[in-house]
Amino acid sequence: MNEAAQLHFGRYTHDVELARRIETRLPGDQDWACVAMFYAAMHLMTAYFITKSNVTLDPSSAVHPERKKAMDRCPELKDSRDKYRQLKDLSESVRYDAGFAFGSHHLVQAKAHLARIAAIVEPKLKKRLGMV
Amino acid sequence: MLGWGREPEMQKSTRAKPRSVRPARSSKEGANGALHEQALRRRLSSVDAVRAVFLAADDEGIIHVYSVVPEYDSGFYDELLKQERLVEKEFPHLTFEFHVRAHQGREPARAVPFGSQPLFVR
Repeated sequence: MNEAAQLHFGRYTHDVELARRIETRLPGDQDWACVAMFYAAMHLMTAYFITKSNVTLDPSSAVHPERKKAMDRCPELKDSRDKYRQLKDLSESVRYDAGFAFGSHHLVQAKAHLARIAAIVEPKLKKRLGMV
Repeated sequence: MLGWGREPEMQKSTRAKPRSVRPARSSKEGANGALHEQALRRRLSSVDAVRAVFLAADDEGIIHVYSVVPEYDSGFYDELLKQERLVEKEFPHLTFEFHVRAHQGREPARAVPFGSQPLFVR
């Protein structure tokens, strides 16, 4: 169980670094840094859910409502739910809305959302994985 | 890769005709459409920032609800998520996936997947 959580945590750190690389090396494609940030958040959440005995979620599931239900079963993540949702919405606009005009303020928003999610979830996950 | 390949937009691209927004297990029909549609209209229209709502169903029977706002802003999310939760509680047998799209000055329909059905536009 923890091995799977570790794998998702590893993907989370990878995606955080990917977002940083996109932001610094591909300044014209910073919208995709938001997409990497969303997937970072998704893997961090998934890693946490795997460690929770009261949550049943297929970690390979791509169905977002299932992940949302899992989030609803974790009251300790309450303050991260709306940030996750905002990051997901922004990421979807980047991926699917061809007319969406991405601005630097969106990147600021995305970074703030991920930072908040990480501040809430990462310490809890690390504790459950015995990383602290 | 997690999260890829299940988005309604991707599925739509292979469909010649948009699917009905009525799920297999729909709520009862009222004078103004299915009851869940009436609830969505009533609750989401109470959020000032929401200028339009569109619906689409996917192959999994999930009802995708697109609330269109002028621009992304943290200010309206508290109220919007509260209203969305109330709809979910009212129709626990239905599966909703809620989305927010920014019209950024465009017609609201331009910001949502092609074929989505308008629930209300103001």
